[in-house]
Amino acid sequence: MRSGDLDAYAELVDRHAPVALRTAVLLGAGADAEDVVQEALVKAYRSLGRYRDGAPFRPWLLRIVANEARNHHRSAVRRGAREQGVPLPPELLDPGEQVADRQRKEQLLAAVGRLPERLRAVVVCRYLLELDEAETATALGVPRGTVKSRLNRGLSRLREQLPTTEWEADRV
Amino acid sequence: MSDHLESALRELARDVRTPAAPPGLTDAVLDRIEEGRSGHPAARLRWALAAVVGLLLAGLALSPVGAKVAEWLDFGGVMVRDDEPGTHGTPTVPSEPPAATPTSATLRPLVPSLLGEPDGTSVGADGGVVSMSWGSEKGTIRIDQFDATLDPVFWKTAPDAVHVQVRGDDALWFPTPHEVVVTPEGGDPQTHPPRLAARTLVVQTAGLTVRIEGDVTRARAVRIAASLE
Repeated sequence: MRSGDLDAYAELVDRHAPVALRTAVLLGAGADAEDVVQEALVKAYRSLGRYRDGAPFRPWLLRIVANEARNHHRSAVRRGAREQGVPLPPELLDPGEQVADRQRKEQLLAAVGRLPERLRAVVVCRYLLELDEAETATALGVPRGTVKSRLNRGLSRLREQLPTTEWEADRV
Repeated sequence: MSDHLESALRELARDVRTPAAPPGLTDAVLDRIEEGRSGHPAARLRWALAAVVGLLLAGLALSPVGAKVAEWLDFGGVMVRDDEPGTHGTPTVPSEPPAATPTSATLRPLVPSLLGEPDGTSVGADGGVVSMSWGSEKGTIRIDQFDATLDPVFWKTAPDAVHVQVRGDDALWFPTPHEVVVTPEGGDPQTHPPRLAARTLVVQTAGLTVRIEGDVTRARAVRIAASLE
């Protein structure tokens, strides 16, 4: 896309705004996700010169969103108290679900939120945003090997934290 | 190896609901991009010209402030005065031309490809002003255009006009409802009662002055203007 072409950019914004918003929420921007996305989309436009034509646009954009969400989270932490992990609110889940299912999912969501930032970002990208390994690497600005190792560490951490019975019942 | 945890995480992806993108997001982003381009708050033009308009009408345009107004006279037939904004405005649909038809226009009007063919068109009595309108559930958009070298045809009263660019052409954005007076060529604006206009973008392009009026964001008005052809 030629930089400076606002109509073309408007179309890109329309198409990618939902996933950008989801990324911002899940990477910790919380209630400010909309502001974070707006900021990221403005920055992305200004950085179009650095976008390599032909490269997938979505992970490139998500990288800017992820950075913005991280900056936002850090400044929120500076303003507030100590970092408590990212609250992924249970309101994200469908209230109509079976109570047991819902509790189990809330627990899992909370455990993901408590992961250290680097591991959490990889788990969120791979599973909750359903990006593949290469897209995750682009979005987070790390090599693919790092995505792989952080994902393994993130998953082991989650297994340690969650009640064994829930997750490994059929292995026993 | 896929195990329970991984399938539970995948399931979670389907269950996690995140808010839908708010409808105004794209416009808000484009507005901010455009603001960044036009630069700084200094790009915001403020005018205290009510008295000067009176002077001009009396033919006294040589004061230093008058020189500033003269620039406005250069802005193709649109005269702006910073004064008492209205509270709300709606574009009027051009009245059906009783005698004149579009073919009697003395200029070849531009049509914005973004809006397509207009629902209504009318031509001023002397053929010098062409008005078009588009109606939708979102409201009416009205476009007037005329030869940019005319004497002021539209007299506007607006406190917060902003200078913007459309494809490199100068344009003025009136973000709030404002009074507008339309005068026939050589007529006296004081004899024509003002009507309240909605937000308006005035752009000078291809020798014409085009005013786009309606309940639109600045970004949309600029996009409409950029699609004039």
